[in-house]
Amino acid sequence: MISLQHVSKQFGGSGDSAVNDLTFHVNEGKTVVLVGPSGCGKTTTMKMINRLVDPTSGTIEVAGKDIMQQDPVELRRGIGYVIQSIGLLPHRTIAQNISTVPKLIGWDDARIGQRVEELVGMLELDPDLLKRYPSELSGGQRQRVGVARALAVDPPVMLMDEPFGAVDPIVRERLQDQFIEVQRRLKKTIIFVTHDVDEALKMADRVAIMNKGGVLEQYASPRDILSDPANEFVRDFVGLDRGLKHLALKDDADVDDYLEALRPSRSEDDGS
Amino acid sequence: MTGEPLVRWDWVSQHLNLVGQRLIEHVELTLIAVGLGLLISFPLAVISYRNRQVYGAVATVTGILYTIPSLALFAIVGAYTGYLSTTTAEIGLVSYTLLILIRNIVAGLRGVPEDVRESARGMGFSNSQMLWRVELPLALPVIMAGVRLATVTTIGLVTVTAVLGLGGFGHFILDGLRTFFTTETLLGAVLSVVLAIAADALLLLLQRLLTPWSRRARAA
Repeated sequence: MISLQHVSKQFGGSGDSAVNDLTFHVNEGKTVVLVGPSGCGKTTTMKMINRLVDPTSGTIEVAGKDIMQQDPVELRRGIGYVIQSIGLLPHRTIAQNISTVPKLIGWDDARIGQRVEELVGMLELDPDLLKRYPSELSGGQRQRVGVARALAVDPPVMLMDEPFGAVDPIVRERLQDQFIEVQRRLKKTIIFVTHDVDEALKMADRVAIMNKGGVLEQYASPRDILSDPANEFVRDFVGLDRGLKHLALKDDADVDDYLEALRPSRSEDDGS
Repeated sequence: MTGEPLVRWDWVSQHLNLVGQRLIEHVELTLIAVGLGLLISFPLAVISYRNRQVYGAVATVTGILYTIPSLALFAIVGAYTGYLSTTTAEIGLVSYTLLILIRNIVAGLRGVPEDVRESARGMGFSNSQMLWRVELPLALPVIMAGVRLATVTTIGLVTVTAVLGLGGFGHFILDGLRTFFTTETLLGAVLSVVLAIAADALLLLLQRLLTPWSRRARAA
């Protein structure tokens, strides 16, 4: 669904790479989490997929089409986008914010209204919030509105840059769990950026661990990352060489238990 | 001492028609000046916002215009376009609005939060949609602050155009000074101040109506 071939990015005249010869493929319906220390180019990588940043070299394809051959504005309207600070439009009500992209591509009001209702249900938002302005919402509510807005035209691909980063740990965990539930039903192809290893292991079908200078150190399932880290950097970054993980993860069964504990229990599906 | 009172209310009540006429003149001169000022400032400010060099040039030119004393400006412009001329008055009045309006429009646009801009671009707003639907609405409080300042300044400067034979309430002030008739001078001065305060209040009200989100944010 999304494929990067030898993608590099250098900013300005410095010649230092933000992203260095990155190649990976994201299958349809899967979530890939880019994780790494700050300055590892994970956000730049994500922004190249909707052309907020253009690569210096290499090719990126979304749904089999080279993105450089597409109009950036059209491309972006077909890709859901959520950033850490969410960036809700402060002068628009919550309902108007959620309907931003449907409006841009010219849906009629009836269809927009119906869609907003669906999304409010899906993300368990209080319908009373729809008439409010973003400044009147809590951090957690804003984040869910941001996700609802990105899902509005039901785009097959979503880009999420630390979408749950700006809330406290308890709210974050709830939002993560809720999003995993939503994703189980919607099966979007997602690129998710975070600096939090546990969030990466929790959300991902595959984890891309990146290092400074935009180098990909390992691209593997969460299970493989924990049980078979590619190198010292990965071991160190995921915390396998210290603390609780070091003590707890002695064999594959431990790894499964650890990952199981991160994820929400499936029984919650029955209610929805 | 003539023993005459400071304000002769009977004179005021006899000249209410004249007050009405000059009010209209004062408001007209102000509206045209601020309206034309906005028409000129808006495109210049939008270009300045996108191009720092243009902004440098625009800020320098309008800054120089702003420093010319009003009486001198009217005298100089009048030499070319004639005295007793609305054109002369408006060239001067419009010149003084430009610096305030352009600065505020640019500052307003620059104040749009980067995350809002980024998320809007990421959702697929084109450049013009970004300007009209995101940047300008969010810049509106700062732009309106500029419009209020320009309006109040212009109302003050209109009184100076009395030297050109225009001037709205400025007429009263000038006539009163010429004839040593305090009533008329005070009338002109007080009415100018009242008009400025009223215009400012009206524009503030308009700004609140246009930006309901910022008021609710304060209440929340």
